[in-house]
Amino acid sequence: MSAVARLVLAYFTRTHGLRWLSLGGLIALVVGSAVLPYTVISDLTGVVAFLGGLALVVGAGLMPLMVGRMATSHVICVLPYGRLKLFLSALITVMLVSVPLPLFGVLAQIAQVPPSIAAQYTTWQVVKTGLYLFEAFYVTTFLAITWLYIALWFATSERNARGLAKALLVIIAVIYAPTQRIIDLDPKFHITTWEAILMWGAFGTWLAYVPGLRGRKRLLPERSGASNISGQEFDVLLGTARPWLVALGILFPITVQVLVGYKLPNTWLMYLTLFSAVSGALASRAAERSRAIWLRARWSREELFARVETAFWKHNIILLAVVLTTLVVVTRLYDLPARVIPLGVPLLLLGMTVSTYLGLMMTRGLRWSEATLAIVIMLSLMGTAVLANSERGDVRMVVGLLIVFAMGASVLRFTARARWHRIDWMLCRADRSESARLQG
Amino acid sequence: MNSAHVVARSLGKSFSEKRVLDNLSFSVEPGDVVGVLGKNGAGKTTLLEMMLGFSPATAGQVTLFGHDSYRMPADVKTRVGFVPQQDELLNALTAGDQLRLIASFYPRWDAALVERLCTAWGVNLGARIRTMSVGERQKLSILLALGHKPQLLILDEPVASLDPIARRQFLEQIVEVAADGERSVVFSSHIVSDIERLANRIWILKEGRLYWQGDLDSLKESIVRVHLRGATPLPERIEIPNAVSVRRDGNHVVAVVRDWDDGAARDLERRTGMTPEVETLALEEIFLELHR
Amino acid sequence: MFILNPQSGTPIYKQILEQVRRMVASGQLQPGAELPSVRELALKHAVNPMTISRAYGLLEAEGLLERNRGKPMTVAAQPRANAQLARRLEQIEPHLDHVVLAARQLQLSEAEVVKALRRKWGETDE
Repeated sequence: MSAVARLVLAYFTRTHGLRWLSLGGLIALVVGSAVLPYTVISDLTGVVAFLGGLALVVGAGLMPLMVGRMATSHVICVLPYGRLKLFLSALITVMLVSVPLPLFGVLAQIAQVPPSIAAQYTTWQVVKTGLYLFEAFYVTTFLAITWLYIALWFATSERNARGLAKALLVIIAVIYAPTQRIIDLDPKFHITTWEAILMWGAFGTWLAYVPGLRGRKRLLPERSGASNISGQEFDVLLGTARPWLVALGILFPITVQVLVGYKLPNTWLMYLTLFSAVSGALASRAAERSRAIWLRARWSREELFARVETAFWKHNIILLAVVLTTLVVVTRLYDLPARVIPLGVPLLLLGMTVSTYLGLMMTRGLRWSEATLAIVIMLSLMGTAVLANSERGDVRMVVGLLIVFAMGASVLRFTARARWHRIDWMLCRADRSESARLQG
Repeated sequence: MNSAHVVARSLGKSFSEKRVLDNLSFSVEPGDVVGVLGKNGAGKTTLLEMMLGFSPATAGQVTLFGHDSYRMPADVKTRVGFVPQQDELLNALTAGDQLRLIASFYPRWDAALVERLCTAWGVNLGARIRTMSVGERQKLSILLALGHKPQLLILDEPVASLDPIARRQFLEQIVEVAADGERSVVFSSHIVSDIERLANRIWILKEGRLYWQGDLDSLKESIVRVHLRGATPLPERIEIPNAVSVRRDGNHVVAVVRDWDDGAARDLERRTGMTPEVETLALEEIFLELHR
Repeated sequence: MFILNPQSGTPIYKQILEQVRRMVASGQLQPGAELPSVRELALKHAVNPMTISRAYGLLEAEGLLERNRGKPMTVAAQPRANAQLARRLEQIEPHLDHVVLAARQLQLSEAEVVKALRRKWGETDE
């Protein structure tokens, strides 16, 4: 059992940053549980509590990758009852990280009951109701987080656009249903419980048979890439040769959503903003991919940046078209407020611009400063989207934020351009450890 | 008129306070095959990549065919070939696609040569790169650098993952490249025997400095192991000039000496009163002794 | 034709020099005999062609080999008899060095060594 405990601890402390995040999540859990029943619940406390609960989930974010690696390595054969311990460690981790969010939810519910009504119930009745609610929330959260970790598995094991698209697909297509149930306070948790049992059963089965899977031939034949080469060599090297594939990857979960008829219009713009940031993820790899271009193509560093920039714009136009079309369709379909389109279009355009240039700026690998900037920008974009979408949001504020984004975009472009003009490819290697060693 | 392929003058490189290369001056002439030796972390990769302009120099400069390598013009780029330590292959493509992709960047590409080598080296053109083994990937990377018949070929540990047969095939190909005396090769390798076969010039990189640069032949003639054996134990302090290392074992003193010649031999005989026994060393032993 | 050891302390060009000299001296290589081209030899042994052409160049300067335009190097037609002798004596030098060194270490006198040598010579005659 100590092996299991050690594994679980390892998941939470995989990197320095994640260790602090897990600790933060733990503190948030303790503090939140003590404080929430007595605070006034507002949007702000809701967001803070949500983020606090999410910290623990993200802290163990590399667990899927670690489990995947260990499952296909000899570790699993060497450790006695290795498969069982691996399975248990994963299960326990997900069970642990699923606690904060439902707990906060229940406490918030309790806090919202007016004192006059609360006085009518005994403490024991309150606790019983709380436990009932908690059980319902917990199972749903547990399932949602299981899916989230599957999404993270795609994103972290294949660190490219494909993995990212798959991750987004999983998040959007599958997490909505349980999260909607949470919001609607509709715990059809019998179904949810079965779903959870099914998923973990499948995982356990995979774990039990996994070495046999490794040697097996691929079930699906690979698509031939031969047809893509003519005239697009630069794009192939840079990674911008298949905008339609990425667009499709974005379109699919959107279609699922439209079909499922998800009714919270507030978050539509938010998700679309997220999608427009996918281009930023691609752009962040441009520097290391351009390494192979330096010795082959005839361009100097200055010319190279100009070409790279053009390539990304050609690529992103297509994504933008998809995303904007969806915006229009969704606005019509769900009778969103009229202002969504005039505000949403520049927001999406700016979102894509800002995230692309931020990605291009990363010519020295991913550093903490840039990662923080990325998160801040993402959150601001999403926040602006929420404001733009809701009736109560101030239009002037949104416009102001859009202007800030526009100025930010041009600053980021200036920085990206300057950095590319003196790009040092020894510092943006694919092998991060080597780059880190050089940077000290 | 300087016809050297590469010239470096007081080249230095630091990454945020850390000095990786220090005051390197060297040249690569047409026809040279330069073997670069050094411990891990001595700066071999940095040196090779700076020669190709991947990274700006923090001191001094390095020029390629007369042009600053950081600002290499297009025509110079077509005359150099590079095999990096970590391959830059695109996993989604097949080997054939990757070759076609790279070939499209060069005005002159010898498809017949590449095809012949693919068959001889056993590189399956239809295989998808993500399914290829490390050795196959390395072979493909080498082919990508040979196809445009570069005048200057730079290779960073090109055979680390190849079996002895594949390595021999690679060596033969380098011999072909070097045979006309106009093209030059610079390669780093841990497999000292390969360097010993192919190189006519050796650079030994130690802690970012060029500890030795010169002909391989002169290196072997100049660094020797000298044995002094006497009937009685030798005096505590024997001063052996230019000694890289000295070991004693009773009556037997073994010293590795550099800059050895007849004059040094006579000098040593005079100092110690004994006739030294001279043992010439293989390159690997020279390298080990220099790092003792 | 040659046995080359790249790992030896002796540079490759020297190994070729010594082997060619020995072979010509002993008659293994007759005048007019063709030697493999630089490229051929380099490929066969997987060694640097420059080292081979250096050896060939030195042998040509010594008069042992001659260059024919467009055709491979051949053994020179009439190596002078004196040069032959000097060459052969050169071959035996390293062996004599060994003998002298060993003799000194064993503290044998010149007379004792010459006596032993004569005895050896006599033995092999029989």
